[in-house]
Amino acid sequence: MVDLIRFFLRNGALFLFILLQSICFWMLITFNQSHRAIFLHNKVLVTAGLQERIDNLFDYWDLYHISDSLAAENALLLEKIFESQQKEPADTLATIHGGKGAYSIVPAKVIYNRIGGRNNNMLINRGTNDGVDRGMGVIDGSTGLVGITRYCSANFCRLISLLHSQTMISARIQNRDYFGSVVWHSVNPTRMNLEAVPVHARFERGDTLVTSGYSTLFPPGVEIGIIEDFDVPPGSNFYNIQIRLINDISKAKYVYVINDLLAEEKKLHLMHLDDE
Amino acid sequence: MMNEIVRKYIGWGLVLALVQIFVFREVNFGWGDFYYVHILVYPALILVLPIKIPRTYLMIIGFFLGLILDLFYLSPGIHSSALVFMAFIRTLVLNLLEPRGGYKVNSSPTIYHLGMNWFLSYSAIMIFLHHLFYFSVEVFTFNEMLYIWLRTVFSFIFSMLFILIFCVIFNPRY
Repeated sequence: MVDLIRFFLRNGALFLFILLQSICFWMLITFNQSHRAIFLHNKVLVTAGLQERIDNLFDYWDLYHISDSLAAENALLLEKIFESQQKEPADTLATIHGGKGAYSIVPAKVIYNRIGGRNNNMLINRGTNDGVDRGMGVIDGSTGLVGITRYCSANFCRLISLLHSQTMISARIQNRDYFGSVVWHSVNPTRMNLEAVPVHARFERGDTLVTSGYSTLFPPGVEIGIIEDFDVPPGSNFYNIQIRLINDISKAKYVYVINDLLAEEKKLHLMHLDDE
Repeated sequence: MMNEIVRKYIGWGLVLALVQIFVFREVNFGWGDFYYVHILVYPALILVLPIKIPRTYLMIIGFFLGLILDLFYLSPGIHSSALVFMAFIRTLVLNLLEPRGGYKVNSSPTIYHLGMNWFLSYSAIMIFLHHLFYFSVEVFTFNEMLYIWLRTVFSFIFSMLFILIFCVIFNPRY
């Protein structure tokens, strides 16, 4: 017994090292496995208020830019309104679902953003009080994706950025109807990769990539990027496609959270697809 | 006297953490397709703490400094893990670089006590290992070795530059 205690004392540093590292890795793993979010949930609350204050400080320099982009945004929305007025009412989802729209859009502000790491996170100033919850897509205005909500507290929400190793977004090549998954392999925050497009697909450089709408995250038809380069790796049946993102995620400031009002119902069906 | 020294180190820790959060966290740069540089200056605190401080205390200090940074980076565990590792290997590196006649009892591994050449090799080893560990933990898979090495090497160069500037300006004497 005495020997055992002496052994622990002599190697105390090593044991403490192992203990502290285990705590660190435990944190890392809980943060990667999305279901055990309670711990992080609290941490979001602790620093989010401070984070917002820091961000307000930096806001000042961005004002010029933002007023421009807001004006452009408004113009685009007006365009959309006009467009939809010309359509037959039966075409729009609004009438199909008893006058209720299929999506509700929550505008939000990015208060923390980082693009330098391999797994990047963001923080927005909307939470469950504003109807934002886990697993909703976030877009940058009318074109370009930003991320997916992960952990939400009452007033804040943490996103995984599009620039994250776990990102996988179902996308379609516009006007050609081939689809694949968008992932981030590179270290360059302006490029992403499209995977799982079979070799028989025909497309060209410069084709636009849009969301497919096959998940509950994003509505169909939101532009993601432009195909820049592609090749077929030797021995593979799938293209390796490099795309250039349409938006600059590092500059994402005013974003829109997409709340798919039919998500629960859709998920019910999507879940059972794998069983059959 | 003792309290004053402790307060001074706490002050440095805060300054380094604040500089990291307010300035270097916002700095990400590269050239073209080359986005490899992320500057980390806060390991400087673990570098300059006194030699006689026990390894266990050093690791606990590292853990909590890392935790503060993790809170602001939204990256639980990464910074603290790397700092605990750095604190753990500090004794080994100090033993490796021990000058003839050993260290003075109440000195710290700084430019003031041991000279610029010694400090350069000491900080280079420590910061490089810290960065290697940090980027490995961040990626968390060994499939991307090239990425880890590129980021380590390029970030290391710039971090060293800023840490040396810090150590020359403040020139810790205790």
